[in-house]
Amino acid sequence: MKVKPTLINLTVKALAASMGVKIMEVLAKKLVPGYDLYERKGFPESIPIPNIDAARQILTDMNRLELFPDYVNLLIKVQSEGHMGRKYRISYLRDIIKMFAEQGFIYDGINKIFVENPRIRRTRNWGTLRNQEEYIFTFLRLDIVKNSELVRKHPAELIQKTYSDLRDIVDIAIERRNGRVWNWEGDGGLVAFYFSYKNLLAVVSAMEIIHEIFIYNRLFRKLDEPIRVRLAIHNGPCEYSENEEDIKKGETVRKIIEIESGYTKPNSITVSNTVHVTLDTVLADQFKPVEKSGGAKYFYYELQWE
Amino acid sequence: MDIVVFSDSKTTGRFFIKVKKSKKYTLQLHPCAELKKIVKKVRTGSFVYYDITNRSEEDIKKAVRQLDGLGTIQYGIIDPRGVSQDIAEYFHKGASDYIGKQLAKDQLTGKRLQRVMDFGIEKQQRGAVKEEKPEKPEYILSGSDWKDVKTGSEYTFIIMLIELDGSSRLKKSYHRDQLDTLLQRFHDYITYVTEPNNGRIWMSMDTTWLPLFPFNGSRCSPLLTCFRLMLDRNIISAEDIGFNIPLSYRISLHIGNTVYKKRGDTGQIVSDTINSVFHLGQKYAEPGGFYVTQEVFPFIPKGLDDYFIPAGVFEGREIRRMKVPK
Repeated sequence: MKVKPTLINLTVKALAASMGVKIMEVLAKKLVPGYDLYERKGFPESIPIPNIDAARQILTDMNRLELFPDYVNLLIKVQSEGHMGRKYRISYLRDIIKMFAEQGFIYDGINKIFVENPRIRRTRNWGTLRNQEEYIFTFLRLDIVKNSELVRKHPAELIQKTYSDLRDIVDIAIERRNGRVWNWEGDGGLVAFYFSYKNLLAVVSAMEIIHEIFIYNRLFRKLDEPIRVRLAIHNGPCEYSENEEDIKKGETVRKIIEIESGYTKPNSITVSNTVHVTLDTVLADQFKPVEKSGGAKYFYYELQWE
Repeated sequence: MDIVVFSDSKTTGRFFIKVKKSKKYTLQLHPCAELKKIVKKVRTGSFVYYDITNRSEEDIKKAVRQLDGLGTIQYGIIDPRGVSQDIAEYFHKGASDYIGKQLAKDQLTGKRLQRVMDFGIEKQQRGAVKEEKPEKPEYILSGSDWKDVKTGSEYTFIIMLIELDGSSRLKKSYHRDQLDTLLQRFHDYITYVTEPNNGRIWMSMDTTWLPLFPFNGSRCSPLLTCFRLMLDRNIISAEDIGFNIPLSYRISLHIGNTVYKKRGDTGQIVSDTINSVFHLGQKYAEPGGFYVTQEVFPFIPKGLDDYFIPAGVFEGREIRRMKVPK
């Protein structure tokens, strides 16, 4: 994330006005263990560093290490929760958050992190996740049933149009819920959710996809047979990587592939227990237990009619 | 009562010997060729039989058209050789009786004739109800958007009524502030889904909203919006409303005429159409149901046709209900 100098200047002003040098350094050490302000400044420890100089040095360093948003996150946390039993009021905090928004980043209060505003830009890592760092994600996997058969039976052009329509359905469902397609092959893909109520967002995205495919098959399909999909949702830790192959090696992703291919009926969604337990009853009640689930607890949803 | 039989067969009269004996009925026999001339003079309430033996298909069609067209009599078909391929078609076209091969071997009894008469009367009454249906109004197309719609003028609109079910339960369950939040979120959601189709929430009260859509005579896109509202109700409940309750609502969709006035100035509007939509949504519709009037039927997409099932007649209009997704 490239931070505008005006935002850095405002934050320097805020930091200098809100706390002493010691606590500024303590917060910096949370992000960069061993961070030594005096060493960075080149001052002997016997000479006190003025607040404004300390603030500028720390924030310049944080920005260079791409940790500027993280440092502001800490300031938000310190204001709301205090630090070591002491309360701090961070000056200009509202203006800082506003300036972040102008730069295309919004504060996600649930994960306590700045994230890119999906209305302004969408990057694979929400503009904030770092390579090789582990995060807890909720994944949604989608697979087209009997893809090879469909490809063999129908002209390539029709298949291409159909799969493009399917991708549109998926994009519409997930983008407004801040999901990211991490992998998309001809016959399906993997979508990641990280922010806000990610389990709920993944589940309602999947339900919407099932409903929209029903309407698509009834009204807009291009093939002479309906398209069917299997959807699975599972959450867990995963090391973020720009490399799709690395992502596939992770246990959580391997598990969701297993749930989708082994325990999901066509035109249905299977969710793992770790996702199901977090859902409000209004959604959880729509899912029924999967009977043969190999010892694990899975739940499925399918569109049924009176 | 007069039983008037048109037949070219000399033996037809014997089917009616028992009827003739009854003093309740008088029997008249005429050749088929005289149908056109005589049938006009037949008294109202008479029963006419037409014998199709040796008649061409064209003659039969013509005769049925003439008999049905009178509207003042009931009629039946005599087919002693059982040559008709589609007997039901006679009934579809208005006949009340059919004397086929088997029945023609026996004689027609007064009892059977009475049953036929009763059936015919009931059918006529049903037909009368049908005739009472409000006449299809002259559509005054409001267009595809609002640019030509002027306040104070009458137009045809697509009218949607959506009402939360169990409003008294909601009022008991939630504090006023919470309820206001819930209703505002639902209002916002209705706005969000209707605006892309140029819908405007025209009236709203308590737990009822009435979005209005311009109608160009060829499309009724709010139908699919309502279909989605029914499909996605649990998604909407969980994601857009919150409160962790499964929200239930009923929807009615109609196409009809009303004078247009700006939102907020609608209090003085006297509109049968609007009244009817309110009655349908509030008195007839079951909780959790989506109902469409016969004016909307032509716009049900073919692929979704089997998801709309007959739901009776209300205020003279045929109604269909969307099957409920479980």
